[in-house]
Amino acid sequence: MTRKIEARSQGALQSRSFFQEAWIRFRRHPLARLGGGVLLVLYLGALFADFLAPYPETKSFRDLTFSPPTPVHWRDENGRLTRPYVCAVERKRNLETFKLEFTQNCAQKYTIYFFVQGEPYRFLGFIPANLRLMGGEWLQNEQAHLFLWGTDDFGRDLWGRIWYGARVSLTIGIFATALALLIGVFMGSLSGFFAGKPLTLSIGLFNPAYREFVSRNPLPSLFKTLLWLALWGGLAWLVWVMLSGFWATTRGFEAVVFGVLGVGILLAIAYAVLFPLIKIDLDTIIMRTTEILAAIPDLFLLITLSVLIPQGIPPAMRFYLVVCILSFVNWGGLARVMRGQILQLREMEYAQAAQAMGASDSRVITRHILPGTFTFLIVSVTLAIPGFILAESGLSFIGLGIQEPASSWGLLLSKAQAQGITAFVDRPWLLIPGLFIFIAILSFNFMGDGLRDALDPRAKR
Amino acid sequence: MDEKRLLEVKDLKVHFFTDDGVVKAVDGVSFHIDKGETLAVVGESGSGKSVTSLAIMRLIPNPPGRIVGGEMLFRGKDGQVKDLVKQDEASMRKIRGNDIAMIFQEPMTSLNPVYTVGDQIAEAIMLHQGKSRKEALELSAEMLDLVGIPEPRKRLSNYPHQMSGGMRQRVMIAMALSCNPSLLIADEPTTALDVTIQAQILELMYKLQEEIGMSILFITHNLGVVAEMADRVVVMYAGRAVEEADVTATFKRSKHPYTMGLLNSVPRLDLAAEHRQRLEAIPGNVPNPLHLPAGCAFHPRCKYFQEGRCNTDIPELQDTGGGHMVRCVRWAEIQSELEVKA
Ligand SMILES: Nc1ncnc2c1ncn2[C@@H]1O[C@H](COP(=O)(O)OP(=O)(O)OP(=O)(O)O)[C@@H](O)[C@H]1O
Ligand SMILES: [Mg+2]
Repeated sequence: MTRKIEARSQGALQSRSFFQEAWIRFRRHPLARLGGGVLLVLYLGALFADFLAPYPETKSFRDLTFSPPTPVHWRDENGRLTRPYVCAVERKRNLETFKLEFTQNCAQKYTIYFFVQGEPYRFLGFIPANLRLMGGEWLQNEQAHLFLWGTDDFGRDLWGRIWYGARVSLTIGIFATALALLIGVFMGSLSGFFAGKPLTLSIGLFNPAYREFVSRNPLPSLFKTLLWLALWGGLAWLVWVMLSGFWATTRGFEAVVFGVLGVGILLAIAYAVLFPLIKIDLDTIIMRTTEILAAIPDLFLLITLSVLIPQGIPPAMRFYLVVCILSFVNWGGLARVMRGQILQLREMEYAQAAQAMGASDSRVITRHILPGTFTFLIVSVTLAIPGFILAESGLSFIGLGIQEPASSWGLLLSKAQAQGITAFVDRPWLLIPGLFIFIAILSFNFMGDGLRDALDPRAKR
Repeated sequence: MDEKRLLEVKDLKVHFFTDDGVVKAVDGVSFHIDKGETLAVVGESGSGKSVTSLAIMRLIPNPPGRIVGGEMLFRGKDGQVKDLVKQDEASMRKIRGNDIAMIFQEPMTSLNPVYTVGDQIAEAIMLHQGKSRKEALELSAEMLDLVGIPEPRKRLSNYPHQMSGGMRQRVMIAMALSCNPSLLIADEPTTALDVTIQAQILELMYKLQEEIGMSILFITHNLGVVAEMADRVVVMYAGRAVEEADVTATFKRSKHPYTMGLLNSVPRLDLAAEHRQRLEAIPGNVPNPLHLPAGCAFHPRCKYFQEGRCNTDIPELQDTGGGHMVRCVRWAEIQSELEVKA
């Protein structure tokens, strides 16, 4: 059995890994590449928001609310190209129409310099820096203003706030998906692995099955028995404490009712210790829970839970609570699909074949069952993120998510809504955050599609 | 145990404890396999062939299944005889793949789509022989060459979906043989393949057996394949072995009515032309495993059925001479009846 083969093509031994192949396929997918590129730009923008924005996140100019985008001039009065500059803008009420009007005063030109020292900030929250993309002395002295995309109702620069808001909007999807994934995958795997295999919670001491259980391997069985007894004992103790509490404080009829109820429960526990075989089916419990969650409308659940967030907590705290709520509402779907995947993969012949080759259970699970779910997970994550972004936008839009003075795309968009129809006519720049939401979600969907095609090993190449 | 014996299964019982009741999928099966021998197990669907093979590997899904009785004495590579029923999980894992390997029916799904063929063969080698990945891949290429895959080195980096069904089954065989097992269990290894590929795979297994000298437990529906491959045959019906004999005796002098029925239901070119003989299907269906008929489980479908003898007690497996075993109370009478007719 030891035939030698000409070792000609030694290089062929280096096989390309599955993910390398998938990466090649992904790069050939035009829409996915577009989506990936756009997302990269958006995430970089969020990361370098301080650098991109000329003003700090909460800097507001009370006398310049709803100012339109500042015109940037490229030519001087004679029509020659110059360095870009802006003019000072004044807000006045037109006495004929009673509308607020913004007029430029180009007596002095304020040249925009790039990569300038600006208002100091902390990059990544701890590295002190003050480099900003655009600005100049005049900007810090507030002689003129640079509002590329106008200002909001507090006179804050929208361009900057969109990038600051991207931090929340773009990461909330990832955090919430990660958390939902963690819960969903854990629950789904439990459910899938234990489907059809109920776990024995306890066996009554006088149940015939108990003797067989102990005789099979006595030591662990006795240990388990002690555990069950402790569990039942603890439960009985709790009931007793409550019961005596009730007796001490109630009189007459009520005392009798509680007494009968308590004694009934204690008797039931005694019965459970002695006779029945109690099994729990983790699969059933988990799946029924997800069904209950799925039966409640998402928005209703979201609103109910959001109302529970106390007012006046720090924005970061609020962010994490919103993440928790979003993932709590959404883990069920992931768990269900994960369970289905595991049930399906568990019965695949290659899982059995691996076992027949001498692989241990844990090896079969980690090497043959879970990797089969990866492709599915990656795809469902990319397709779940936009859902979370939308959910956050929705929550912030109705004022229950991220709150002022922090920024998020949904929150920014609600400014436009608060202005009613005027947003479309007089202040269209307020709709820009909506465009960002739209683009981000579309990009995630393109990328998800691309990933799905790339990760399917049966895909055409 | 006899020196030339590799595996001796005695009175094996595997029951499935389902919600509807106890399915006695295997109920008192005994047989043995000698070194270098091919034993075929045949029988209708549901007769417990796969369960028997899974029991040997100790891979019965539990719950609901359990080996409730019997012995399976196996001579390991080291020459020691072990009872597979009594081994714990850890020592079973050492036996699986290393001493006993298994190939499955469905070549399309028995390779993992996420890994390359080379990785999957190498996994088994690394698991049992403690070789490095590089050495294992080297050996994998040799195995692929052995099972007749052209350009084995290039094929190592292929994914299963890049191969045809016949090639995948060759890969499965390469994987199974990579650790030099002394027993290969093949559960209908060619059922899913078309006829020419089937012939090639059988040819390959035959050749490899000559070369390596392993034993094969061959599970199949196909009596043609049995005639070609097997040295001895065990016929199973409803969880019990009903006849065990060497291959010529099975085909020429079968003594159990069920075996005769099976043989008559196979189209035969040589007879069809001369006698215009009709195919004789066995009447009726396989019994519900939850409610087996009393006595001989085959009696409702048997043309030699006799009230009071066949449906009272389960017949014993009797030696009719020369290791030809039959589980039928009337085998001697049937035998003489047939002789009179002929
Ligand atoms: N996991 C299981 N749970 C319950 N019953 C089972 C299980 N596995 C097998 N059985 C029962 O065991 C019996 C024998 O099944 P087995 O798979 O061994 O048949 P087989 O002879 O291999 O049939 P086939 O030729 O169709 O493969 C069947 O009646 C089947 O219902
Ligand atoms: Mg089978």
